[in-house]
Amino acid sequence: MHDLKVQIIAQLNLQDLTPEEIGDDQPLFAEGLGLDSIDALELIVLLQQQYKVKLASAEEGQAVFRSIRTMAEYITNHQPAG
Amino acid sequence: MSGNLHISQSCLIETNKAILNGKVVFDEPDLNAGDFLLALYKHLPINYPKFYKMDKQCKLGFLAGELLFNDADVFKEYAKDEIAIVLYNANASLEADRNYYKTVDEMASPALFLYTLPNILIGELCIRHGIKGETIFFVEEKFDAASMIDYVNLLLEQNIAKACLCGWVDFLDNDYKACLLWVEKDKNGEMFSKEIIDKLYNQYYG
Repeated sequence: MHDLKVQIIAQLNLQDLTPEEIGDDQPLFAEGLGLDSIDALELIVLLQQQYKVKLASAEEGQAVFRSIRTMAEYITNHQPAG
Repeated sequence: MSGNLHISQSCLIETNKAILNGKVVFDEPDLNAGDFLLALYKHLPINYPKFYKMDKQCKLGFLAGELLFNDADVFKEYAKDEIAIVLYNANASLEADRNYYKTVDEMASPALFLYTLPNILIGELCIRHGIKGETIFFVEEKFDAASMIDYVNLLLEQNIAKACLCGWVDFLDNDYKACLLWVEKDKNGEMFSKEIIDKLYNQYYG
């Protein structure tokens, strides 16, 4: 999850944040990390570029992007073998 | 009409100092510009995660707004659509434009593209403080108090707004300056005049 936090900081240009400042279960959107719909787009790109993982549907995004932990679990469960 | 307009509050952030109403409230001389803005954010009693997403110019203007409006009573007597914002700078969003352009060859970044207009800062201030009045962002070669007085006068004289947040917010490379003024009608404070505004704008240099 640490690597994922590092990638999110780089992808979303959150350089003033450290991975340690992002909680594993902290909400990524709204009152949590304050991300918005533009950032959701960036997270989708990150999943595709870094992990070759595509969301099955837009509706799925809400649950997948709830926190670092939910993202990590989705990646683990959907990353292509090899 | 600028005779009844007064500057109730002023804030200057420049050369690693933050000055509120003439008093230095934060001073970190050894940091680069980005680190100084982060240190100032952490010094203030706020938790606003969206700060981390902003480009440096928005961070600068946001922090000046936080200092100016740290007391919520400052504008509680006004409806949110009675407050105007009039900002100026010389470099538009060039800092953000350059950062965005660096990403274009590989994967253009929506998060950086978002800040490639100077008036995004006005949006950030409106979101933070709930301001819904008239807003405009001028890009001029250098600060011109007379031009700002004319425009703010027009807004308040024609009752388009009853109070105005106005001033200069500019960030390019490591060079930055924010000078924000809170201007109201018939209030205590210094006159909203070219002489006073120039004095506040240049107060860092005494």
